[in-house]
Amino acid sequence: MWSSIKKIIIPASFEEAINKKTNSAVFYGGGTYLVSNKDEKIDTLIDINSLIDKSIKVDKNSLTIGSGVAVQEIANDEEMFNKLSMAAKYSNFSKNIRNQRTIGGEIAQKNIRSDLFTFLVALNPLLEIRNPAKIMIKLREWNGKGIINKILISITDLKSSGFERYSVLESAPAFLIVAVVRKALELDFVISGKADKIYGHTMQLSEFSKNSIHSIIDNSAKHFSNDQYGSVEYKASLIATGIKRAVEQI
Amino acid sequence: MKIKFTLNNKTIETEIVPGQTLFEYLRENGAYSVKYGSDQGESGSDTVLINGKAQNSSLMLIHSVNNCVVETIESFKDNERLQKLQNVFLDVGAVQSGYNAPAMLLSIEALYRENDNPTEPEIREALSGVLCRETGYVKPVKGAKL
Repeated sequence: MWSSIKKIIIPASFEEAINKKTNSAVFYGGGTYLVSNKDEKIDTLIDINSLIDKSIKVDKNSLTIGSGVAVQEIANDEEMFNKLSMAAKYSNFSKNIRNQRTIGGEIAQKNIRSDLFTFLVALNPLLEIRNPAKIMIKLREWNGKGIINKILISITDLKSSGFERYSVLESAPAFLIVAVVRKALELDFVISGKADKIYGHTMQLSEFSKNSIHSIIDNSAKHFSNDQYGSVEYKASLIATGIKRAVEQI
Repeated sequence: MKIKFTLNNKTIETEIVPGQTLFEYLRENGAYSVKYGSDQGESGSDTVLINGKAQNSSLMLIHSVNNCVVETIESFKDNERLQKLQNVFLDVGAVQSGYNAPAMLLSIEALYRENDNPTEPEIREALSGVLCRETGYVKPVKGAKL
C-alpha cells in the first residue's frame, strides 16, 4: 500500500496534466520505479498512460518510439532495434518488469545503472516533450520538466554505436556500462553503472589519440568506488577494454 | 475512483483505494495463489497475467488495471495446457514448497500464448521474472517443454 497517495488524476489532455503538477504530484506511467520507492512525500498521481504515445515508427532515417512503449517490446525485437534491444534486455533481469516498464520511464527516472538509459544518453535522441506545447529537445539538454511523448533515434547513430557491460553474472545488474556512438565528426562516450554519476565525453574525430582516450578512462574511473566489484584501477582497466570492444563494434 | 476490469473471467466494477497495489487487492479478494515476494519486484512470486503478459502485481497500483484482463492461476482450472503443465511440473519434480509454482506456470503460459514452440533460452527468459532457489530452474525449464 502506498499510503500517502490520496488522489489519482486521469487527465484528458497534456495541458490538464501539466496544470495539475505540483511538488507532491508525480506523473505516473509504467509505475514500477514509483511503486517500489513509495515516496511518502507524494500524495497525488497523474496517470499519463492514456496520453502518451505507444507506437513505433521506422523510416529511412529515424526510429520513433512512443514513450509508453514497454521496454520488453524493444528487448524482443533485435532486428528493428539493433543494440538498443540488448540494452533494453539488460536494463532489468526480469521479463515481468520489462513488460511493465516504459522507455519514457527509463529516461524520466535517469537511472544511471540502467543499460538502456546509458545507451540512450550515448545516442542522445531527440525527445518530443509536451509542456503542454510540443517541444523538440535532445535528451542530454532536457531539464526533466514536462512529459516525454516520443523518442526519435537516428538510424545512422544506432548503427554506428557500440555497447559493453560488465556484471558478476549475465543476468545481474552491470557494475560498469560503456556506450560509444560515432557521429559524422565526433565520437560520443558514455560510461556508467554502479558509479556516483554518469560520465559523458564528446571527442572530435580529429582529436582522437591514445592520450585523449586515457584522459576519458581516468576521468570516468574516478566516479567508481573501491567495492566488492574491484578497485578503481580494475574498473579503469575494464573501461579501457570496454571502450576498445565498443569501438570495434562500430 | 471507480474502475472496471475482468478478473478470472468475471467482470469487476469496484471503487478503489488510491495507492492500493493490485497484489493487495487480489489477496483481499481471494486470489491466494498470488504470493508476496518483495516490494521491489525481485522475486516475481506475485506474478499475474495482465492482458496476457506476465507482470508483478506488487509493482502495479490497482487503478492501472482499469479496462484490463487480469488472470491468476485460479482461472485456469479448466485450461488443458495449464493442467498438462502442472502435471509435467509434478512429474519432473519442478515443485518443492509450491510457493512460486503459480508464478512460474503463469510465466510459461504467457510464453506459450506468444510462441507455441519456445526454445530453452526463451523458456529461461520467460522464467527470468521469478526468482526461486528451491528448484534451481533446471526442473522447471524441463517441465516447461511440452
